[in-house]
Amino acid sequence: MPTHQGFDYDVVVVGSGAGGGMAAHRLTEQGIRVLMLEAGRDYDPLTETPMFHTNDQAPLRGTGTPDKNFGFYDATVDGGWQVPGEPYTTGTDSEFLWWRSRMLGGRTNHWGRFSLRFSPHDFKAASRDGLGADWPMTYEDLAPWYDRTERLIGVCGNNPGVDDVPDSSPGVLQPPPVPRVPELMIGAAARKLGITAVPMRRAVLTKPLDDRQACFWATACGRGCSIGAAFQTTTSLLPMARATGHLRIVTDAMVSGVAVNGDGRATGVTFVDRRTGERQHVEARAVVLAASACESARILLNSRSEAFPRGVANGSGQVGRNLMDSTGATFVGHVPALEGRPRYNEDGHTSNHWFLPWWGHEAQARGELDFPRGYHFELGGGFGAPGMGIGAMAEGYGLALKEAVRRRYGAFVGLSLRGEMVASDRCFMEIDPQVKDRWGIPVPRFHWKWSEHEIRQVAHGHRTARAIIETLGGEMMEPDRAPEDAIKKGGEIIHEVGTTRMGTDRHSSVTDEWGQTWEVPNLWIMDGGVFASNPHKNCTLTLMTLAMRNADRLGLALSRGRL
Amino acid sequence: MTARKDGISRRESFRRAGLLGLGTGLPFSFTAAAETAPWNLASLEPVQAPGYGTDPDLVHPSPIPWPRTLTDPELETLSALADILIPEEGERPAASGVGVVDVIDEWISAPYPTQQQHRSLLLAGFDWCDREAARQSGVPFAEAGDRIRLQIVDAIAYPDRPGPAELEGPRRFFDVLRSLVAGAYYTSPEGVRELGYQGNVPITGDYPGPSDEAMAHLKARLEALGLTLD
Ligand SMILES: Cc1cc2nc3c(=O)[nH]c(=O)nc-3n(C[C@H](O)[C@H](O)[C@H](O)COP(=O)(O)OP(=O)(O)OC[C@H]3O[C@@H](n4cnc5c(N)ncnc54)[C@H](O)[C@@H]3O)c2cc1C
Ligand code: SF4
Repeated sequence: MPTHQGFDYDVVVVGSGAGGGMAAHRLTEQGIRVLMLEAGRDYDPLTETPMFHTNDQAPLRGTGTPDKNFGFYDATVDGGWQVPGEPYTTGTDSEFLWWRSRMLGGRTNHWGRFSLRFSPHDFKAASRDGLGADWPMTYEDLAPWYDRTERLIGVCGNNPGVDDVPDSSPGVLQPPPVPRVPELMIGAAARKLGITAVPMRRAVLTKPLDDRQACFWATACGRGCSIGAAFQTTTSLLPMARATGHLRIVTDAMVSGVAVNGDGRATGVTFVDRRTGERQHVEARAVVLAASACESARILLNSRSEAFPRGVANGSGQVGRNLMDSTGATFVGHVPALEGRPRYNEDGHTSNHWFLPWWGHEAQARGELDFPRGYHFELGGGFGAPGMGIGAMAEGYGLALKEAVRRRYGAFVGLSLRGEMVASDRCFMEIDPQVKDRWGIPVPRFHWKWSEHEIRQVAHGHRTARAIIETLGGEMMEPDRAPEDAIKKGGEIIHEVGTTRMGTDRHSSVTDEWGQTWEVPNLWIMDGGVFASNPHKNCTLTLMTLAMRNADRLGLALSRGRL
Repeated sequence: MTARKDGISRRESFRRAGLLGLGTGLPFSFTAAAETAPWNLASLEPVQAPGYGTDPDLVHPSPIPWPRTLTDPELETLSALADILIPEEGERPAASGVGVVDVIDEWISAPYPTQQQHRSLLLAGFDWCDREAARQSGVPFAEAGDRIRLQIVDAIAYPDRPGPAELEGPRRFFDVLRSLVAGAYYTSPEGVRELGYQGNVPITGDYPGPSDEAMAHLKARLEALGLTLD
């Protein structure tokens, strides 16, 4: 059995975020011993989360800066759109943004916790419209695993009976919080247009679970949650895995490559100790990559050898290809009907209680839409904690200014589109032939171009959002903005997937449906890299569901001596 | 900004609907004035100071690592302008009474790109206000009388109303200053209280949702729009 600093283990798991956390949990639960390598520093939400801190206690009133892109209190450590000393590059005419953090638990410490299942039709979209690839499994294969994942991480929501929000089994979901005034208002306008608003599903506890407390309806989840109500691996899966005694975590361990022997088996990985800059090698019976889609692909592509000139597990040439994000655009409206309304505590769980799931399947099937896939709207607005932008749209000065700011507080609504893009030859990553990071590891180079499909989808979203806002008697800001301009950059929605996609054969895919690479049987991938397509329902719940199912299978194979 | 066929921008019509008629003195008094002080937007030496870094202590934030850079005369001009933007209102303090001047000094002294841009704009604006006050009355803005100060401010406080080209810079300055002063004021404990923000307190049990009063208001508004809750 391999050993590291006195700890015997079977499997090396790279990364401690959504995928790695779930893999470690499911493996250790089966008695498999795990050495986890995490590039970031150790991080403890219990002591490091600024729970009730107010903007006036922060530099620049908490406003985002190049050091802390999403605001001073956002949990992200040493990261954001840039990680110091660890650049990435983009090809000519390409814009792509890559959000990373360097901390235990990765991006689960500050993600939005939106947790929507994919629908049966999402797994077979290519069969429907001929674009991209189908998934090698069906919704029915995954449904029981969705149930298990939702129960384990804790998801609040309901079964609204809408085809874009498939039912969870009875008793799986925790109760959703009631909607607030702006959500009720948007819901009423949407219904008039034939669109149904339903509770958002979020990985936020509304009832206690294990030793995690229920949400107490205050403090933005992006800062992290010291009471464990908002799911992050650092307060759930990692402590649970540690409690088995089968997990050892090494932080500040930046993996640079996977070693594969002459028989095509992974023998271990190489990592750089970020504190000393020293390179180390650890052995393994099996290796799980869960460093996030683009980082795992980077590790594979950087693991070149004579036997694997294109990188490990890349016989298909698909590693780094099929890079997908969600489409995104935000439409804002000023709604006079919301002005001067009675104040109450509108924090709730500080994010969407309701959203608008995709309503257009039937119209699409009838050929009435000029774009192939769907989207949903996340809803914003309300009496949030005031920030520096609160006076941005005002004019004048004096008591009139004050009166206007007070009246308009809580009278703006936002509809954020999150949509499905189609995989394309123009969106991919490779290794930059020149640039290396501070550890000497070659960095990714991203190529990106939206297609007509995405632009038309955003145009449709724009018209819909405008109709909703105008139904409320409101006025849309920037009503004539072109969709090419309104669409966010590639990577900006931070749902990057597809770079090691799964499939039914080794020529067109990197792994099988279990995340097991076709070429190296004891090398498994358990992050969003394996997605065959990227339905608009934020990727992480599905990523964790796959990791649970696949770690279960890997554990079984190891305990039966099959690997 | 996109122009409509009738020549009024959407943002402007939006603003007019919300704010005209709230009578603030002499909004157009300057549009006819033939001369004003020149606008000098100098490019400044960038602030060379450390930021707070990519892993600051969030629970016990350290003191701001960059030094404040405004001079005493600049602080006086800023303070006078801030209190015109947010004056006292009954028991409620003016902007300078809740630390707004210091927040803006901290803001424009920060070594980040947005803040550095604001620094150039604000310094040029303070300078312009002082020279404009001196041109009209022989003393800097902070020492000028109320009538002169308000006359200057009225000429630059309404960005979407037509105005002379030479005031474009000062108007841009005032737009940013307003946004910063309002932001700093309404993020102070006094400002938060004034807005009636009631969150950031823990609640045990279920989230209670809108108050009865808030629901009654919502229903009345929906009815007026011909919409219903179910
Ligand atoms: C602000 C924000 C909001 C989001 N909101 C949502 C949402 O509401 N719903 C949703 O579904 N998704 C959301 N996401 C996306 C979600 O965070 C990711 O999909 C998810 O965390 C991906 O899981 P992962 O395990 O692949 O990567 P991560 O969670 O990023 O974990 C990867 C880990 O691997 C480590 N690592 C990287 N490289 C190496 C290396 N070479 N060696 C060792 N370790 C390495 C990283 O430091 C990190 O800890 C959001 C993301 C952000 C940033
Ligand atoms: S809103 Fe609830 S879940 Fe989110 S951080 Fe606060 S307590 Fe945790």
